[in-house]
Amino acid sequence: MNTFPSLPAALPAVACPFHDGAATLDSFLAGLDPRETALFDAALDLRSLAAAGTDAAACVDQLFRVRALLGGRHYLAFYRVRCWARRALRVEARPARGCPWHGFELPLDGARLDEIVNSALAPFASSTGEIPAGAHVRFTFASH
Amino acid sequence: MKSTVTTPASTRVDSPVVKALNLLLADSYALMANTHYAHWNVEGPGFFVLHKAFESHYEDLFKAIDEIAERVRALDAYAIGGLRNFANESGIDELTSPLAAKDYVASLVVAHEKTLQDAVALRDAAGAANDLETQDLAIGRIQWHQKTVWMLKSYLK
Ligand SMILES: [Fe+2]
Repeated sequence: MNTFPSLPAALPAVACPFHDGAATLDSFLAGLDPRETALFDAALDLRSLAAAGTDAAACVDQLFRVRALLGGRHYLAFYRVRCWARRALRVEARPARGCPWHGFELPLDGARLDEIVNSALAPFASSTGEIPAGAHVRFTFASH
Repeated sequence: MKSTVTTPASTRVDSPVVKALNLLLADSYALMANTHYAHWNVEGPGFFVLHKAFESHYEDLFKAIDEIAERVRALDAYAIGGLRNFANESGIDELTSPLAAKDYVASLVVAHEKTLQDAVALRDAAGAANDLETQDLAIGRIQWHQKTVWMLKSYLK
């Protein structure tokens, strides 16, 4: 029985209820022990950030925080959450202000924000590995 | 007891039963392709166990796909075919890049659950059409997917 209020309609649309619905967050939460407060609170914060749909970078960061706290537990439930995140969130990068954004899927196996940022910037690197000073990465919600 | 020769009109071309059979066919094909991919590319300490388990799963799916398609033909309809058609019809995401061993298992659980859902819809459509032979096929698929999901989930515990 899910004891959490339902997510608002503003959240990215459910393409497949089996693996990427926002409901995966509720199922995941329902399987956690509320007495394990650090993990439970972090998961609740993730759900709040997802429901608000305004700060995608914070949402990705929180996803990775929850992943670190889990340390591989609740594997299947969190796999479904990762699949949802891959569809609901996008990584975008551009080499300089005014250039068009290049969009990427959030990697399913992502674990650190700085790694995602570095790999999104990598295509802009010069032959000596220099990243242009104006290069920039941002996170967005896929349906926004 | 009905025979497959005197097919009830309600199970012919474009009937709910035929549509449900073709969806089960497409998802079973997609699941077989993903299971093959996992069989070939899985790595790590669980390699031998998973490599062998995935092999037995795609072998079962290969036989089942043939039975499902031939049931469509027995109902006087045509089975869908072609990789692009299967991909368009299927609700299962293709595996296209290497994953961690446990992610192969988790992704296959999700794909089995989708295929199981198709088989349940087929069972109910066949029941409504009083097509007991198709219902029998659907129940067999449900039992196999339920057992396979249990095994895969146990690996993730
Ligand atoms: Fe093989």
